[in-house]
Amino acid sequence: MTTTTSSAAATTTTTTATTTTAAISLRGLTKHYGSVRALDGLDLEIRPGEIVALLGPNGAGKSTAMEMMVGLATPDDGAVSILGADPATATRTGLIGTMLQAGALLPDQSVRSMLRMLHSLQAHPMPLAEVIAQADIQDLVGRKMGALSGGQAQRVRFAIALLGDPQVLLLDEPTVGMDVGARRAFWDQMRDVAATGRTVVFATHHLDEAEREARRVIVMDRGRVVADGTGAEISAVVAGRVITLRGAAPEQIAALPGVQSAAADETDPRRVHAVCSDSDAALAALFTGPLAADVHEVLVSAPGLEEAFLRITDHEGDAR
Amino acid sequence: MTTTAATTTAVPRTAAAPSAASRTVRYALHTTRMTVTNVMFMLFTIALPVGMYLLFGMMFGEAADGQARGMIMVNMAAYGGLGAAVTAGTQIQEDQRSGFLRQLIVAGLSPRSFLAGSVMAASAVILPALIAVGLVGIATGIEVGPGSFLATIVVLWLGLLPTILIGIVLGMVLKGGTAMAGGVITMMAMAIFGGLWMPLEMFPSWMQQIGQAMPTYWISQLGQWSMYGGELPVTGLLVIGAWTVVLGGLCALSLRRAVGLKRR
Repeated sequence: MTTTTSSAAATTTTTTATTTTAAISLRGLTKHYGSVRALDGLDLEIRPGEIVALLGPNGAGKSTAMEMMVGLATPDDGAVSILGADPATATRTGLIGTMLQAGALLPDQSVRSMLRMLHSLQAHPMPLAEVIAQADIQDLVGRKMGALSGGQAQRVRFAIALLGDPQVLLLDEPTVGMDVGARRAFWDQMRDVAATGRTVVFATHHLDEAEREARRVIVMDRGRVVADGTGAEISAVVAGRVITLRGAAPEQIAALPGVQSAAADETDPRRVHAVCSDSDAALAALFTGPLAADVHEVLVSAPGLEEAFLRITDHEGDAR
Repeated sequence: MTTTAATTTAVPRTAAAPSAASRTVRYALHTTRMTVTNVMFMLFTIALPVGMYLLFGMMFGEAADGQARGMIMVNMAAYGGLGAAVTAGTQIQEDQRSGFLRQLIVAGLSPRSFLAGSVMAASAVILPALIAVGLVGIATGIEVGPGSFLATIVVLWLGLLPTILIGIVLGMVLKGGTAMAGGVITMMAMAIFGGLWMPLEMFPSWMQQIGQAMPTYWISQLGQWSMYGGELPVTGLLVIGAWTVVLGGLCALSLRRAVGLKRR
């Protein structure tokens, strides 16, 4: 993941100051809440126009990092810059818009009433009608906030994030509470919003969303970045490939060269999964050895993002 | 990164950003709109003091050549304003507690503007109660010139500032339902010790001493002064001023805590 500086040359602006500015720059952020270390030297640079997924288990520091980007939390140490501005200025001038995780809404107010209030505070708001169309909440504007389902409230929060017509959009677990259909619809809208050149950073637990929607996936764990690349690159963190087959015992497979570990499938005990450091060597040994006649249904595959994610954030794995 | 050329995100449009002051006013206006359209809030803050004015006026209104009726009007208007102020304060702070303040900050409102706007909105929503009691008072035979009447409303309105701050501080210190209950208890204590329901002279002396330190007692005295003249109760100005300064400081302190102590 080398940083491309050439992309900046294409920026339409004539202001030289903004041409090389990162959309989001986090340097050496640390944050403690009592004895809990939320951020532990977080370094991150996101370029304008990127769509980035932030992955990580609960407590990885995703939300804390996002709070710092909008000035809701201040780091104990380190620096945050949004398009060259400090977070408070970026928020005040509408450079950055945020969909807060479970951000509170006024339960007694109608969606329209609340949007009007937040709209009036923006530095250079997107027209309200456009916000409502982009977030697809025409059917919700007359409803009381308190009467919305979890997924509907998330759509309203998405509208709130768009109110300021921000250049950088932060979405903290945007599809929480949405069913599959709503999630799909949400990402369709998100793609339209992102197509206008905005920088989008979203935190998620859904690995499929990260892999599908983001060209760059950043995995955070225990307050720092542990992996950074495309979904495919992250998956490749688990070196080698996975071999599955039938007709041999896990112990026999584990003894082959290039095999790190082998285990029976949880639901189908006669199927063996082998994680390889060198799948070519393992296959060569398999088919030239005594097992060649017995094994069948041999399948070689790259591990998915989910396996990589579990591997990267598997703390017990550190000791092994 | 070829999409960069099509970006709409070129130059930060900071020039047209509204000032902190205009954001404060906009926030106050929207909050006022939201509170005034709350039917239950308006009903309770207006109907209760008007009803109590009518009741007490019927019972004691003719005393002191009818001047008692005017004093009852002043006290009930003050009581209505007190109720609206404390309720509005706790309600606004409930929004802050629930995390709505975070939405406001992310929208560009500073915590200081939030506090100022909240006070402005609460000041606005106590006016209907003051005016309603005043108008019902005039309709039921209180003799007061339009100048004195307006002056009385304004004096009561300004004097109620510390009670708004009490509502906000209560809302920040207490949680959820406790804030509402705390608001009601505080409101009743301040009404009783301030002599709004019954003249303070009817109470034992220890209660009278506490009453002398209450802003509500002096709000009532100042209201009567503006309506019927006499010597300006300077002590009252000092007491109300002291409450305002102390509560304003508490508001600022607890606001910093409320924003900074977000744990995860």
